[in-house]
Amino acid sequence: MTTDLVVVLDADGRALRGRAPKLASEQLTAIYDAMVRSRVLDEGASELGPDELSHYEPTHGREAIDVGATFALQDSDWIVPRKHQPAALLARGVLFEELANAWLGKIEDPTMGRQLPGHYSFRSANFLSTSSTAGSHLSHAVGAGIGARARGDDTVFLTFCDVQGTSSNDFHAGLNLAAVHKAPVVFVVEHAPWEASERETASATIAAKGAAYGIPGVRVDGHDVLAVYRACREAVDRARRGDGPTLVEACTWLTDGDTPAWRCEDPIKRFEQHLAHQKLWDAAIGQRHFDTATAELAEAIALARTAGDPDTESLFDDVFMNLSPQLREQRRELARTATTTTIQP
Amino acid sequence: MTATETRPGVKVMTMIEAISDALRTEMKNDDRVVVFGEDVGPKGGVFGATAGLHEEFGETRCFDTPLSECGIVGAGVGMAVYGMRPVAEIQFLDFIYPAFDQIVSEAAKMRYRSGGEYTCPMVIRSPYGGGIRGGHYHSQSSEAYFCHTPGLKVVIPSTPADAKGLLISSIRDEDPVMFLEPKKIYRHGKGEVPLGEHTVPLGRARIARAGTDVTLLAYGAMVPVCEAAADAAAEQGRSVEVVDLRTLVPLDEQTIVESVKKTGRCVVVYEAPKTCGYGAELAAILAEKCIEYLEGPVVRVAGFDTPFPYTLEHLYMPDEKRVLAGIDKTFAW
Repeated sequence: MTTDLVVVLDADGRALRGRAPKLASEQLTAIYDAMVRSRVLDEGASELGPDELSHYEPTHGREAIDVGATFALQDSDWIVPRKHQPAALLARGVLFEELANAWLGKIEDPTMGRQLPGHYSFRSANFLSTSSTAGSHLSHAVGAGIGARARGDDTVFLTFCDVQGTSSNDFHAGLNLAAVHKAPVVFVVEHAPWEASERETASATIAAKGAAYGIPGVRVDGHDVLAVYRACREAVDRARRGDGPTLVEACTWLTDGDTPAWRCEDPIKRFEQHLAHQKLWDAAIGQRHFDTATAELAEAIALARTAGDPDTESLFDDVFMNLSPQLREQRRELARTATTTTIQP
Repeated sequence: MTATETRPGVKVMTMIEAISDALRTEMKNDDRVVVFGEDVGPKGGVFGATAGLHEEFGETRCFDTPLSECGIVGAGVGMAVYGMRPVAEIQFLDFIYPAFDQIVSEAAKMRYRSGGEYTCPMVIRSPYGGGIRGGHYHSQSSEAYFCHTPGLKVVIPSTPADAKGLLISSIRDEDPVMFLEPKKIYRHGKGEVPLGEHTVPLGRARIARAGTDVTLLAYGAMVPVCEAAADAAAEQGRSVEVVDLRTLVPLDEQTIVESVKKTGRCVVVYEAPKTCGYGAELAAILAEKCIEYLEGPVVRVAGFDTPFPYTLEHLYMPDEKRVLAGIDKTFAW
């Protein structure tokens, strides 16, 4: 089953002949830095207690997927995320400070502290607001793609889900509609080992499901950031050309022969080896990336802790564009009884 | 089109023609408006609401989708967040439930959960209600589910002119709107409809008929039933006010409360199952806001708490006789 797998880097980080994508050394370094920041973010999260950070799903082990796929986009392209994808945001240049505000639900959080941590929304990064459900966002990417084409834009929409997401109604609805309308969408399924795949599907691969919709299905080594980049870049280019969607299965669950096995591999280590071959990395350089990120995150968390909570009256904002008479009345009622409030009755 | 022009700027139309006119008007007015759903393209929709739009505006502005309600609404959410003005059609409200998650948890929550970064200005049009011998899967009135959802507006017209004006306002609205069309009166009773630009603001009820003794609160296909009941009651010397809510969310409480303060009696008429229907909310509002003006109980005349029947549909649907009986109850005190 591994023969059809897109691989760029071998186990020692050497690019297979003719497979390495054309990326400048600054881009390679930026990809590395985003992966490092994501790893540092995981470590920072583990140091916060549940009172501060109620909810966190580590990215550890799948940095190559979120970062490699995101780097395949242009800045004007959109990400329609699943939950817990800070690595994609870091790849788009979102700061630790912004993520920390979102974690702690502070006033500076773009979502005004209205969502659980990990459910990010960053318009500044063309990163759509995140739902908790496994697949309902997939058709949003498709509709946005149909809308962009109707407007004459060449925007491409990158969307992610996990294996559980492939069981959702919306996976079928989204892929089918995307295929019928040749929507400019790249679907990336993160096939991770902690998802009990046999419970979710009897299909040997997720990529095989593409054939049923009449779209290409590609399997890629999810520990190999250049392979993810390469496969997604081809899919993005295809979408932008008007040739329709692609299903990309990024595997961190690979089968060797008949035995499914979690190849416990660190995508950052493999990429470091590659960068070392390119003379772009050594242990000291790596340490500098980690140290800088660690210091920046500590500062960001400290800052977020001092930031205020959202205003009381913001509870009623953004239900609709304008307050309805009913919401205005409920806001007045709260103002009469709340012990701490900024609302004028 | 069977519509006929009576005087300049106005045409006599059925409700379905007025809806079609509203879609055409807004598609001409705003190239972000996109109409899609099952069979809305070349076929023109199951009731003909989108007839001719595909031909006039082309495939990118009016197109068919696969038969998947969650896909239709989900795609609409994506179009809306990207900056389009999607108008989705769900063939019958009875079929909307697969899209419930998309409506309740996605469309209705997008503005709030993103702190206003992303919005979802989409309209979901769907024929609803009984009276067409449609059985359980072509007759339901499930408006209350949507009224219970923060972030959704719910609009129900009862006349051709309102259908056009409210639909245009819904398309221009910055928030998601459930636009529920009383299919029983799609082609019953024509009315004058202004040509071209015509808007009716959301959140304003209409006094369909002024009266002094009792208020009937209704919407959609129950408005003409209430008007007929008002005629009959007048023969018994009772002056009946009929208030057409027009939008259930946001609700024009002021008009309702003022009417009931004036008449002192109220019957709420709706064709959905009685328990936890929209009429329960209206009764609660009246109890909170003007109980001291009431001279009798607020009476609900509604559908029954049964699935919608086929053969016995005429017994299920509130009719003039049941509304009159409801009026009698408010006078029995």
